[in-house]
Amino acid sequence: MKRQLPVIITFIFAVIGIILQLSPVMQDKFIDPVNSWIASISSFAVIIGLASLVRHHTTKIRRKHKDQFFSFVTFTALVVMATVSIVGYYHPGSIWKVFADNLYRHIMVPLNATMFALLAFYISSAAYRAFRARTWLAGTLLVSGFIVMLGRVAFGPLMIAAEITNWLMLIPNTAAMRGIMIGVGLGMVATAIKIMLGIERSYLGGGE
Amino acid sequence: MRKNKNAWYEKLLAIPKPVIYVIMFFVVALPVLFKMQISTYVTTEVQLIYDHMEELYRYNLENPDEKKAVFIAFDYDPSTMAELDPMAFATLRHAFLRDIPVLGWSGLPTGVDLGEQNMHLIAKEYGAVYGEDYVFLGYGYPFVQAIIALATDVKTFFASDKAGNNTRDLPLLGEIYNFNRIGLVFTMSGTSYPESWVTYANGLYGKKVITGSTAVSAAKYYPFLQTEQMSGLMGGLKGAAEYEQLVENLEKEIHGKDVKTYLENLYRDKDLSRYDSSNYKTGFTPDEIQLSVARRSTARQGMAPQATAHFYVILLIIIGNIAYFARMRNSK
Amino acid sequence: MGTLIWMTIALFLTLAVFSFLFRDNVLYKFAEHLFVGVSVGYTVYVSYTNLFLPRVWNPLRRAIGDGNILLALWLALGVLVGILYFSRFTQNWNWVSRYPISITVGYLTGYSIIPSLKARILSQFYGTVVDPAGDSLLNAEKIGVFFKEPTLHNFFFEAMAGPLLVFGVFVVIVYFFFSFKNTNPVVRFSRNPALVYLMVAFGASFGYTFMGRISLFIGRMNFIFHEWWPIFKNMISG
Repeated sequence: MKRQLPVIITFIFAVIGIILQLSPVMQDKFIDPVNSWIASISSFAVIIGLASLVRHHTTKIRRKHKDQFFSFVTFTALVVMATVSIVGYYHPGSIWKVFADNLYRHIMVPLNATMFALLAFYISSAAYRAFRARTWLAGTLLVSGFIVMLGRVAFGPLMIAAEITNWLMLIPNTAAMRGIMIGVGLGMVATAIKIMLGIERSYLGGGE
Repeated sequence: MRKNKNAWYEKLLAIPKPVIYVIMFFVVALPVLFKMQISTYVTTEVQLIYDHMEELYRYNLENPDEKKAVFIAFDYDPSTMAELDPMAFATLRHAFLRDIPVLGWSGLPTGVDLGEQNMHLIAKEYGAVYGEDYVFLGYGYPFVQAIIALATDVKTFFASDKAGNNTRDLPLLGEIYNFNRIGLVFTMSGTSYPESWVTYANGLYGKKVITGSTAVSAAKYYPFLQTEQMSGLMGGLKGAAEYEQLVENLEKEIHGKDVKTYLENLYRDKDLSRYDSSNYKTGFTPDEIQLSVARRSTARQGMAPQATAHFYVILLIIIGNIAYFARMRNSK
Repeated sequence: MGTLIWMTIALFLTLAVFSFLFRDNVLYKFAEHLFVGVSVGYTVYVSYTNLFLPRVWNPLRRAIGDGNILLALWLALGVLVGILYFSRFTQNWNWVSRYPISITVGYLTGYSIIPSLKARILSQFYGTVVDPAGDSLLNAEKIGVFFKEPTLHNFFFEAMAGPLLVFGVFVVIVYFFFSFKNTNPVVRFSRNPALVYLMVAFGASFGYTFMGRISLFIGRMNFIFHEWWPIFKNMISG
């Protein structure tokens, strides 16, 4: 009941997935209702994830640790963003909608974009400190990286680097990435079969 | 091994991080500030995208009652918008310039408004009407089911669009609601979603999939390009700059070189009752025109600082290696 | 004026995040926590308006409105199964959430096996034998092109492109599948060429990765100098 039945259900639905994939007749009749059904179930997974996140932050505030003020900032931002956006959704063209759009465009967007922009600095510092041509293979990696970096911003006399970059991307890069892709693909299919047959059960979580 | 702290290589190896950061800031900020530009060449993989769109345009001209749309999946969020927004802008511009209907959604929850706002932003520059010329469906989740829904009738899966309109009430979706009438699928993403598009939209339904990817992911998509599972690839800001260039040439051909005048006059003779102000307000303020003109060359403007930053990091790596090997030699 | 105020807030937040490059500080902490809050708040909004309404509520209402009771019952059953996820919040009943998980995982797993096999394995092998035009990648005619017109471009892009691609895929696959100690001469021979291919590809990836990271920073600089500054300047100059 706790573990065996979910494994059996997984198998049954995997078989349904394969049948819907292979049989055009079944696909015509059932793909839409099954799709919508799975989608409505999956929607609750996201809602659960969100509920956990909200609970995590409210607990942090209640515990009153030294960064309580910042947890309060998080919680207020969460409530304001969610409320204003939902009210704006029901009143398009209202001040609420304009406020919600601005919260997204001028608060969430710059914060998210700048958090990732920090990486430009870290990667240059890391390249300076750690990128060493210690062996001939590391040297190959380095030269290839240089050529691509030059090739993709090439102009004038640097156009030779552009030509070499095109070749590197289309031949050696394609060959190596394809080798990796085939390996990963085989792994994915093998894992899918293991899940279907109940050999792989980690997705069900721990416990009995 | 004893370190000689006064040796030149030790000093070089001990350059503090803030110094590297500050130089990096100026190396990027100065070309941006002075609007430096470098010319960019067009690669085959981007030229293919342009050609496929033009092919779709010619098909639509020959079959005006059976027009095919372009589907744009804005599978990104603000973290990668610097690279992917210019691609989305160029694609939307190309579609609206050629009167190709556009459907779209976002595969990431935090990118839903980005996709919608981008669509309205560019639609406004060409007078496109929501629901007739373009539709933004909202959040395409669960992702695989959403792709499969495009094979039958997307209105079943998306009972309402992003703004909450009943999808049965949108005239465009009355005509174009599945892959039969979708000529090209674009996915702009820094995630592995393009692989899902290839696996399902191309693998199962034979759709031409075009990928606009962040530079970080671009290299791994080349095997798909060689097998034509992907019909085109824009990699990072460079790919965006190429497509932006091609679309700008087309726009100049159609609307002339003076974008400012074109925008000022766009809504002069139009029936404004067709436009819903909750999507966008017709007409442009001077600030909006300024931003709109600047937005047409965002990616190309970015190529000069991109180049200077590349030269800087190459130099850093070379200096780092020279200092490292000098230390090794001396320690022996 | 409104636009300028909002854009100035965006500028302030951008600079607050960049301040972390020098040291962790109050401004950064504020920006970080604000970011978490607005992100989660925004996801709550999207989950309600763009997930719950179009996937759960509106289809149910539509099915009832259309008089399709069977479909309505079917969707209602989906909602009931979905609600089982909430058992995660209980101590003794959290195993019940395994049912909706097993349904979605099972279906997706079954549905994905064949397309994944096709797109990632079969098509890739096929593409290593023939190109999309149907010509063999080891086409001797292409080598002939080089001998007719011996240029570097013809050598690398025509004559050697196919053979080097086929050879590369072969050695990389052999290297991956037999990367443990192996005395087989083919495996031993493949090792160094495979590593060269891989290093070239990883180098290219590094080049691209660096390019991507810089682009993100350029994006913020563009915002400051090409979006905020012109509007601020216009405002000042009236």
